[in-house]
Formats: sequence, C-alpha cells, structure tokens
Amino acid sequence: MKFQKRSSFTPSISSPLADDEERRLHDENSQPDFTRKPDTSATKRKGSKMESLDNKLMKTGSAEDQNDDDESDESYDSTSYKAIPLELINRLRTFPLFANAPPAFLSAVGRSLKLIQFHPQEDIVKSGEAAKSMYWILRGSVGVTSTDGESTYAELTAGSFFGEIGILFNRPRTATVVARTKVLLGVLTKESLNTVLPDYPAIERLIRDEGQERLAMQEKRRRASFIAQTVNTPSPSTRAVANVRGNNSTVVSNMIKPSVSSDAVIQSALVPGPSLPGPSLPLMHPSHRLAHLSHIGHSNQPVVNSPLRDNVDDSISVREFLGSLPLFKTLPSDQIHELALSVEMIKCNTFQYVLRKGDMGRDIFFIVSGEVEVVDPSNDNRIFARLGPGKYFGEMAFLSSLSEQESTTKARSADIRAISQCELLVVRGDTLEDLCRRSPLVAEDMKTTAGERLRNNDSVGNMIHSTQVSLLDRITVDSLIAHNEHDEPLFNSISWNRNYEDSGPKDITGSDEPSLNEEDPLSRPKLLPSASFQSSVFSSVSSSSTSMSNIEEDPKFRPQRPALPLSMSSPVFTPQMQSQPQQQMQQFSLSSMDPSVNSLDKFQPTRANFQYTPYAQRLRINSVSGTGRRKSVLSAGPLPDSLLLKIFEYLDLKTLARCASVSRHWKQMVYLASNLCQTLDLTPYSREIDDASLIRITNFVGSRPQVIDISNCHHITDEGFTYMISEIGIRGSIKTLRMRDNWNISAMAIMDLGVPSVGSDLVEIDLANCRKVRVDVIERLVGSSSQSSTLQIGCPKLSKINLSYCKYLTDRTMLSLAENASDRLEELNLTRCTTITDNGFSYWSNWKFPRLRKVVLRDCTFLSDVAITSLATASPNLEELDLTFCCVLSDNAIAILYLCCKNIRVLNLSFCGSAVSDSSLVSLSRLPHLKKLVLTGCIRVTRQGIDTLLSNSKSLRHLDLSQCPRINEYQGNPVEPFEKSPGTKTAYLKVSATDEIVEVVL
Amino acid sequence: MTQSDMKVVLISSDDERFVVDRKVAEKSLMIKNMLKHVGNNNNDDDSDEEEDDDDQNSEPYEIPISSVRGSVMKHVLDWCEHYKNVDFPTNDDGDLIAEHPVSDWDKEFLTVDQEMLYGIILAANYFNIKPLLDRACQQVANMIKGKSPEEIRKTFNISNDFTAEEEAAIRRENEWAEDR
Repeated sequence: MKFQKRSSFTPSISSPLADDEERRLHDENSQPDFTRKPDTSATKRKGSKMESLDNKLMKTGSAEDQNDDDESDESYDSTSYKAIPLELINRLRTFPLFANAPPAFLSAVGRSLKLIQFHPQEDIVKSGEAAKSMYWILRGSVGVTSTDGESTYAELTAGSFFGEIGILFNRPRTATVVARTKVLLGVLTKESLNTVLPDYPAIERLIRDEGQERLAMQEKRRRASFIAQTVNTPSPSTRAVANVRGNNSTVVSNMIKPSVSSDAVIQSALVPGPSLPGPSLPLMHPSHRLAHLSHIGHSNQPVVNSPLRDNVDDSISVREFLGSLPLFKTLPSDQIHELALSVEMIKCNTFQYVLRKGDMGRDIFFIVSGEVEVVDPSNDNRIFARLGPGKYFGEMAFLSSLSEQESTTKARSADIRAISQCELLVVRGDTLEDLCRRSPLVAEDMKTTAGERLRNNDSVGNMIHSTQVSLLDRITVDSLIAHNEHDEPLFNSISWNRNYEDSGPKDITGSDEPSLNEEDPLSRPKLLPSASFQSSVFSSVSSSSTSMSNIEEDPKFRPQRPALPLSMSSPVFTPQMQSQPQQQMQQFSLSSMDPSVNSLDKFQPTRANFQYTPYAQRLRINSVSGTGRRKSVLSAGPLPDSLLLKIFEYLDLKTLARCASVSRHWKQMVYLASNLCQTLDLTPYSREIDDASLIRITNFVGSRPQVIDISNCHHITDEGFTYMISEIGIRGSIKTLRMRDNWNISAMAIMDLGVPSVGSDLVEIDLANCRKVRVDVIERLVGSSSQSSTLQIGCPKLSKINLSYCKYLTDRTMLSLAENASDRLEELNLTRCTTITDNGFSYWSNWKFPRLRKVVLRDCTFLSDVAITSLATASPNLEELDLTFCCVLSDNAIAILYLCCKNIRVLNLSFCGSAVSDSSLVSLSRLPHLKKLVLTGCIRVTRQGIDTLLSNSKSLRHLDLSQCPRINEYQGNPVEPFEKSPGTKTAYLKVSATDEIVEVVL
Repeated sequence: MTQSDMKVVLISSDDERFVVDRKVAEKSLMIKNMLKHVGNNNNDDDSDEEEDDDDQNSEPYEIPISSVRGSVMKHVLDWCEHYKNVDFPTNDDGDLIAEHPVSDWDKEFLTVDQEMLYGIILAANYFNIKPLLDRACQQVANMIKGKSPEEIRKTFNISNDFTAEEEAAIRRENEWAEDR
C-alpha cells in the first residue's frame, strides 16, 4: 500500500524536471555522475514521503502534531494544491526572509510549493547532482555536508532554505544536504521559482545574495582547507606514505585522530589534503574520472583511502565509484544504482590472494584502492600485469561463461594477488550478466579489455623469450617484466619530466629503459626516484609517488626503502605540487615573456610562488592532464612549448579553441597556460554568442580573464551572464567588464557583481545601454563605505563607470556615488542620462572627488549651470570633460570651470552655443593645461575670441571649430579665412607666443 | 677606432662565418649583453675565450653560435641589417606590433618555408631579438588562423592522440568555435 503510493509520487515529482534540461546539464558538465536525478532518487530511497500538507494541515490544525505514520491515510491529490492553506502561508510568514513580503508573494509561493518529508540521515540533495529545485525548511533541521558527510558546512533549521545555488546559478549541487531530524520541506522547482520571483525583485535579491554568499563561503572554505593543509604538511605526507604503503593504518589513525577532535575547519582541512590530486591520482589514470569524482563536492575522503571508513556508509561512494568507471559511464543512473545495491565490498591485505588459478567463479572485481598483480603460477609465478584503482579483473572467466550461453562457473585463468592493501568491489556474475544483456556496450568494452590483456600476456612472454636469448641472461626475467609493467606509471612520471625537458640536458630517456644497460636489476629502483629527482623541484606528486609506490609495492625492492624518507621529506611532497601543471604553464609563460640568453640550451625551471589552485581549476587540470601518455614530438609539434605559447598569444579565441582539439598536449597548454585568455573579448562574435555558448566559453577560458567584453552580445541573458561572472569572478579576478548594449540582462544579474567574492577586483564597468539598470544596481555595485555597516557589498575598487543611455537612473545615483565612491571615482560617463537632473549633481556639492579625472555629460540636455557648479567644485582635478549638447549652459558654467578646474586638458563644448562666447574663450585661454578644445557648432564664436584664445593659451594643440559659422568675422567685419592644408579640413597654425603648431579643424 | 666600426664574427653550427658590424649584431640583446664590456672598457676584459684584445681591435671578435645553422643565421642577420637603424622599445609592456606594424618588408622576409620559419623563431629566441620573434610568431599564428584542427595537425605535422570519444567530447565542448 505504502509502496504503491510512493511509486505513484515519483513521476509527479520528476515530471516538472524536464528531461532535456537534464541532458543539457549532463552535456555541459560531461560528467556522468551528474545525471542522477536528485529528487527521484531521494524519493525512491526508503522512507521518503510526500504529503499534501494542505490536507494535513487542515485536518490536524497544527503541523507540530502530525506524525508520519498517519500519512498513509492521506491520498495524494495534485489539484488540492490550487487552494492555499492558511496554515502554510502563516508558516511561510515566519521565514525571516519573507517577514516583509507582500501576501500576494506568499500565496504565489505557497501555490507552487510541493511538500516532501525526509527521515533523519536521509540525503536530500547530493553534491554533484543536477539541480532542479530549491527547498524551504518548514520543520526540522538539516546539515549541509561534504559528499561523505565528513565535514559539515552548515546546519539549517526551520525558516531557512537551501538548494538555491544550483538553480540560481545553474550549476550542479555544490554540497550534500542530509536530514538531521525528520524534516518537512517545501520544494520549489526552478520553473516555479522563475515564474514567481521576477515579480518580487527585493526577495529575489535576498535569495540570490544568500546563495552567492554561500557559494563564496564554500569556495573560501576550500581555500582555507587548502592553506591549512600546507601548514600541516607533515601530516598529509605521512598519511600519503601510509596510503602508498597501505599496510600501516596506525600511522593514519594517529595522524588523523587529533584533528578530528579539533575544530571542524581543521578537520575539513586535513581530510581533503591527500585525497586531492595527490598520491592516488597517477595510479588511476586509466580512469581519471575517479580522481575527478573525488573532487566533486570536495569529497574529502574518497573511496580511495579507506582505513577509517568502516563506520561510514559505503553505498553512496560505491554508486559514485561505479558511475565513474569508464566501463559503466554509459549506463543510466538507475542501472548504476541497481548495480551499486548489488555489489559487495571486500578488503585484501598485502600478498593475499584474491583469486587462484583454477578457482571456479565468474564474479568480477573492481579495484577501489590499492593494487593487485596478475600472476601465473604455472609459469614460475610470472607476473603478467599490475592493476590499479579503477581497473577490474576476473572478466575472462565471466566472458567465457557468457559466450557459452550458459551460466556455469568457469575456472580462473590466473592468480590475483594483492600488492598493497586493497579494497575491491565484487559484482556477482549473475548481476553482470543481466546488465550485459541490457547494455551490450558494457560487454563489448569488457571483451576489448580481455582481448588486449590476452595479447599483452602473449607479447610479454615472447619478449622474455627473445631477450633471454639475445642478452644471454644478463637481464633477469623479472626486471624485464617489471620494466614492462611499469610502463604506464613510468610514462606518467616521464611525461612530466618531458614537459620541462625542452631539449634540456638531462637525459630522461635513460630511465626509460634502464634495466637494459644494468647488470643488476635491483639498481632500477634507484633510477626511478632519481628520475623524479632530477626534476625534483617540478616533479609532481604524481611522478614521485608513482615511482615511490612502484618501489614500495614490489617486495623485491623493499630493501631500498631507506631512500624513501629523503624523498618524502623533500619539498617535492608539498601540496603546492598539486597545482603543478598550472605552474608548469606559468613557467612557460614566464620564459616566453623573458627569453633568457640560454633559453634554447637549457630550460631552467624556478619554483613559482605558492598559488592556490581553486577547485574548478583542479578539475580542469585533471580533465586535461593525467592522461598518462607521454608527450612526444608527434603530439607537440616542432617548436618548444614556451614559443608555442607565445604563438598562441596571437590567436583569437576561436582559433585557440580549435587548437585545443589538435592534440592532448596542445589542449593542455591551451586550457592551462596563464598567459592566454586574459582578455575575453566576445565582440567579434557578438551575433552568435548565446547563453549556451557563453557557458562553454567560460568553461574554456576558466578563471583567466581579467578583462571581459561582451558588448553587443544581445543574445546573452541572465543565465549565461550569471554563470560567467560567478565562475570567473569567484575563482579569478574580473578587473574590467564591458557589457554595452546587453539589454537582456536583468538588474538582478548585474547586481550579482556587487557580491564581494565576485566583484572585489572590478575596476571598470561599462553598462552603456543596459536598459534594466536602475539606481539600485548602482547602489549595489558602488557598495557602502560606511564603517558601521557590517554588510559587505559592492566593488571596493570600482572607479570607472559608464552609464550611458541608462535612462532610468535617477538623482539618487549621484547621491550614492557621492556617499560611497567619492574617494575613488575616476571616470564617469553619463551620456544621455536625461533623468539625472541638477538636483542629482547638487548632492555632489558637499563632497570632494579628488580622483575624478574624466566626466562625460554628453546629451544631458537639461543640465544647467547649477550642475556644472556642483561638479566643478566637487572635482578639482578634472582633466577631461565632455559637455556636448548641454544646450542650457551659459557663460557662467565656463567661468566656473575656469575657476575650479585648473587641470582640464580636454574640453568638449560642442553645440553648447549659449555657453561659448568670445568672452568665455578668454577664460578658457587661461586654463594652463588645456590641450584640446572642441567648439563644434558654437555659433557665437568669432575670430576675435579665437585670436585671443590662440595667442594666450600656451598649451593648446588641437582646436575644433567645425560648424562655427562666424569664425571668419572680426568685430562684424569679414576677415581672411584660415588657410587649410590642401585636401583636408585642417589648418595648422603657428602660434607666435609658443612657437608651437596648433591643429585647427574647420 | 670607434665602437660602431667594430666587426663581430658569428660562427654558425655548421662553421659558417658571418662578419657583421657590431651595430648589426647588437640587435640581438644576447650579443649586446655579451659585448657589454668590450670596446668601452679595455682594462678589465673579462671575456674568457677571446684572448685577442682591443687596443688595436685588429682582429674581429668571434662568437661561436652552436645552436643556429648558417642558413638561418644568414636570414636573421639580414633582418638585423635591415633594422640596424631602427630602435625598438625594449620595455615589455608596449605593444610592439601596434607601434611598429609589420611592414611589407617583414612579410616578404618571413615568406619562407616552414622549417626556416621555425629556425628563425628559435634563433630569434636564442639571440633575444624580440621584434623579430614577435613577427615570426605572428606569422606562425597566421598559419594557424582559419584552419580546422585537422589542417593544423597537417601543418605542424602533429599526430592526433585523442581517442575518438575524447575528440568528440572536446569538439562538443568547443562547438562555439566552429565557423558558422
């Protein structure tokens, strides 16, 4: 009964969540684990119930009284939502957010709210999932945690909301929310939110702000955790040792326990450390999605290191782990879910045999952590292969059982022995068979792998045979095999070295096949660490730990271990190295900036300063690096990277993007080089840029742009714009934003710039013709300078503002600028802001704008001398002033300018006919720095004034007298016109006073 | 004998000898730095390889350039000769290309086969001749512009090491960059 009811609810919840939207999200993020439907999976899980609260509230009268046992009596009726229960509205009114909301808003929200109840410890949203709704807590409390629940970001109680980040900023869930008590939630889908909110901008503002703050807070926390981690370097590295050894869990617990007991920040700081692109990463390059996964939602403790996890529910990570495997990435989320339910987790200790050749069985094993080796007992225990996390084994028996169309158990073809402590997921043969029947791709994939392995095994055998003959037993078989098996990790470390090599003197290829030249196979491990040491400053965690783990895990090399502490304690193993690819790029850009004398001969790396690599950037780095393939001249081209990057600087955005698809190495460079994409100018493509492409472009350029120009991109709406500015703003630093004519972007979205984490570096903004800009946007951007206010909003560095054609700005704009930005405003453009009047400028008269250099008041036709008086007294250091078409001004305005603004260099008085007379030119001629004067269309000007001007002014170099009909009159008498230089409208006059040439446009 | 009259001999990797004016050679900041103490201050001659010295300046100053071929060197020195009287700003922040637009002579000069172009870039980088490096890089950039990834690969002789899925993914990601 109950069950039936639940299943009938599921579609009702998922239906508004449009499938195509989900697919789109999926595409954009191209991360398979985002596809899980949050709401459906949440409701599917046992105990989730949805109630029609209005029925309930009507019935019980008090929401507190109800308990969830009686809801099975209730029948779900979607039509009943049309009536809004008073109880619900009253409850909504208790939300601090809605305290001042109009009743109409409450009923609008109440109408679209759906109610869901969760039991304690149930996940409500999960990090990484696509976001479709936001949630209002009506009753109970929830915890906002990391994916694994290890660290808690916030505890929210009734009256709060969550999930808004995802839908307002179009991104997957950033954290996991778990019910602490029994919780009653009101669910507002994205669609309903978008229909209700625009009518209530004040409330939308509040929600957006809180969302943005939370987003930034999470970002900060990540940052903090990263820094804390560097402080605690010994601990993560020790832990990494333990992780690599995999057999010393006491070290781990010793290191971790104290931190758990200390405060939460430190805890979250410590835990993510080693699991970030740390030691576990290079081991899993075949499916670096796993590493990827461990970053999503900064899951502090991914499935990989698990000695501590015994008390943690594994099912969640299992599901994500499976979803992250390349083999299953094509599976729909519900099948992965099923699969996850059916698997078992087993653990193996070092040297333990997982399988023995000849064992019967057809289960398949997936390696979650640790490594195993494939051994052939019938052949001197020859090792065929070594498998790391993300790999699977046991498929041969399974496939052969499959091919014979009968579900018999088959004999295993080899031994599987654990190299280090391993965690394995066991998928039962029957389950998998079922799966293969439904998804033939999986079986296909498995067959390919099995085929490759068979071939490999053969070739290893052959090689051994041939070398044995040719090298006359100088090389032991073992060393050769070891060499062969180390291929992948070796390449990994070499590829890093290669990147620095650039015709460098160190011969890394030597370590490529060291054992061939060595008498003693044991000398090989010595070579490995040295290979990573040669580039020790740069050798990443990946290379060092890879080589380390190779040594560690092979019992033969155990005696070499004393060498390890050296390398572990060396600076190689600092978290800094996690941002290594990026640093590498910085190196290149450095060298390209400053070609040193010997840069051809020797590329000398110097350690870059520590730089925090934000989460998203690490994701990017992971997605483009960690491929485990070596860079070769084949994939890099004929020029060294430093020069290639220099060439890339000359490419436009689109060409750059095309270069990213040339080869892996190029992609890596294009995506990560810090010298590229610093200016994001989309104006050449303005006609074709829409939200979807803007989001992709944002993903492409990452947080690099400091100057963004999206002028004239008419198709951009809030969705793309918000994504772009929060993505670039939070992680990078936007210094200039030009968005002329983007009239589809709402005031709300522009206001998002005012959030400190986004706009803290913003210096210049061009909002010309952004029609939705009103005074609240300006107030928001300019922020509040009052010390008493703890509220941090605004862009503290904003000093150049262009508000041309923003026709809805009122005088309050000027007040806001005066109160909050008088000390930093440098440029202001108010072209055709006809709604700003003299009154607005009168606010300025009590303030000083010492830095204000440039003001454009073009077409502000109603401004009178009063406004100019205020402006002139407020900004004594004004250098450029444009008063074109300020027709109401009189001679007094010029006189005041002359008196107050001695620093004016450029003055445009076009068509200020009534202000410019011959007498005003006299005062202008005394401005000591006036260099350029435009008097177009000043009909009262005659030759008399011009003569005075030219003979008195010492600095004037450019004078525009076009459309001045009376310039050839002197006291009413016609005089000789200026002599134009042939073919132009310009005359060049030599002024006798200064012997300088003045360019006069006629 | 004044400094500007001094001759410098550059010896390429294939042992070709180029005798040029010091002024021409000093288009290369590297050589300029190298010659900093030569000719101005005769007393403390700290250059080690060159034993002959300057009071007479009878013998030209020899500089072996082991990483540049003679054919490339000739080209680069042609450029230096052409621009020997032009002073390029040395500060990095000025936009060189904007201030000194690429002239027709430059275009002509850089119309060479790819191998030579790469050689010029490498040599310009080695000699530290920024204006030449910039122009040559821009020339290469022009070769990239308007080409599809496949064409770029062909141009630079780069092999495609993406898997089919990866390539599809990145193509999807960068769909906006396709020409419409």
